[in-house]
Amino acid sequence: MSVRISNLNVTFGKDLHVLDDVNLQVEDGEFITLVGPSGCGKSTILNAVSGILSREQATITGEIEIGSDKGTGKKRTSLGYVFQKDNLLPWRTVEQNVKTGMEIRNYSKEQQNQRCAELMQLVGLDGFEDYYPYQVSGGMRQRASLIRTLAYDPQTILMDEPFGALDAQTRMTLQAELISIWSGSKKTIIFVTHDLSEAITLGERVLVMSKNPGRVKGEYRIDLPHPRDPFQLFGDPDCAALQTEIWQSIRDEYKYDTDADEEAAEREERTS
Amino acid sequence: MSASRLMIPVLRILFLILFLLAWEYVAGGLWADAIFSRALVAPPSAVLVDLYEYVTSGLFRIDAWATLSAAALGLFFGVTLGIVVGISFGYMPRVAAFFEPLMVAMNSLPRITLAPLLLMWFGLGLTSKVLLSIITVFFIVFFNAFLGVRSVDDDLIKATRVMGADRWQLARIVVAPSVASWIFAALRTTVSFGVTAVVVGEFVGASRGLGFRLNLSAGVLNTPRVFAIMIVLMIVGISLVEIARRAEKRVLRWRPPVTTET
Repeated sequence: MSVRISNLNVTFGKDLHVLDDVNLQVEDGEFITLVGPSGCGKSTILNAVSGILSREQATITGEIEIGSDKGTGKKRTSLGYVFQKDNLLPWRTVEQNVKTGMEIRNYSKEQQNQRCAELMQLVGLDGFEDYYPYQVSGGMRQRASLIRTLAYDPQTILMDEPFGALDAQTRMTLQAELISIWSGSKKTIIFVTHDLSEAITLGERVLVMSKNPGRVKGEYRIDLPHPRDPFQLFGDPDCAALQTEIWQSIRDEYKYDTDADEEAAEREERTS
Repeated sequence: MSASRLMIPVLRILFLILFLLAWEYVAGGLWADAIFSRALVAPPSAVLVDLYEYVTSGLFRIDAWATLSAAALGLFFGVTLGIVVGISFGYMPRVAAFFEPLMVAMNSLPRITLAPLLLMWFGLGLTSKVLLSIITVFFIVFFNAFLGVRSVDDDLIKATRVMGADRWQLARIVVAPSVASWIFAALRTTVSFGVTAVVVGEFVGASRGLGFRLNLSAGVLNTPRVFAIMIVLMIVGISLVEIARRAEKRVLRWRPPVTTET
């Protein structure tokens, strides 16, 4: 489903203006990446779209439309959200975790079993059904977290640095898996990252944000051919050129990192 | 490997035999004159004989039934009440805040000090023992259930809510397992405190029960009987704690194993 954000303003408390008049449009089936320095409000955009940003914490104005579903700060129904932390339920096995979303949405037992088995196979988790999260690696947990979201088939998926805590190898493997899943399903994906090369590898479009307050500063269409292979793009000259080009225009944002900025970033993290 | 693994059990048994022999010796048992008065320390041989006599007598059945039934009732109602009130308070922060000073005060009070009052109010029978056990068990379970609700990882709530969970689904999928983990982690303490409360209640005043019999025997310097009942209580304690340990291990098998066993 398409996502349209118009004039989104978010203020935490009295004067922490996190997002300033953010406008962005994501087409149905499009994969966009949001990149920016920490504290620029990338996560806040996702939290606002998903409705987990509550009005008690923040003042939110503007309009968020998902498909034909309008409004801000409300609960969305056909939405998935993959976090940086895997957020698996520690008392559920990998399989039970993958089924959680389907269980909430009252899928039949047969449907749950079938979809779960398919997805587990897709990301190479088959054989680990009965393991508890603490027994598997970080990469496997993040895979489980990803397919748990895919399992209930949301049309729009928000991803907040989902591979941020993984090592470089695992990250690229998961990027490749995500690309192939997206190519096969054409979900709408908004992917937040602070890693420019990840943003270029994954996104059809890269939106660059600035901070204090957070704004969408620039937009870059990435014309690398599909399907992309993160392992090939690593060190690819076209990719490197794009990276340099975007980097030139946004380096100012990363250049100064005063204490005040870090403080703002921390405050945002705590409240979001 | 296997030799060193056998080492500890073998040493334990050797130590136990030596200890019993030494005890037998100083207590003036089978072959020696007593160093300590027989009225103060009974030799193991006399304890064993008395244990057999006691356990085969009708008295034992009456006492054991009194103590165990009181403990079972105390544990059942104490746990139930603790869960219900703990979860309710967890979901109602204002109510919890209102009652906090009372709960803290009650929790600081050594529960056994209630025994004389309960005895005055409810008599020598089963009721006063059950109530003391309920109160003791209640506070342990209450605090764990309460913390179980309060300490639910906010990120797990968010992640589950985003998947579309309503209030009840959140309670079932996220809150209940968290509460259960806290309660089961404290289960061993809960069980042994539940039994201890009954025994103490019986010390203070009763007409039957293991605690009552122990206290009575000590009063008439029937030392072998005191030791015999201590052994019975030890066996009861070990069995219950072992059951609790297994239940805990089963329910909490999703937790990374802890290396230190206590």
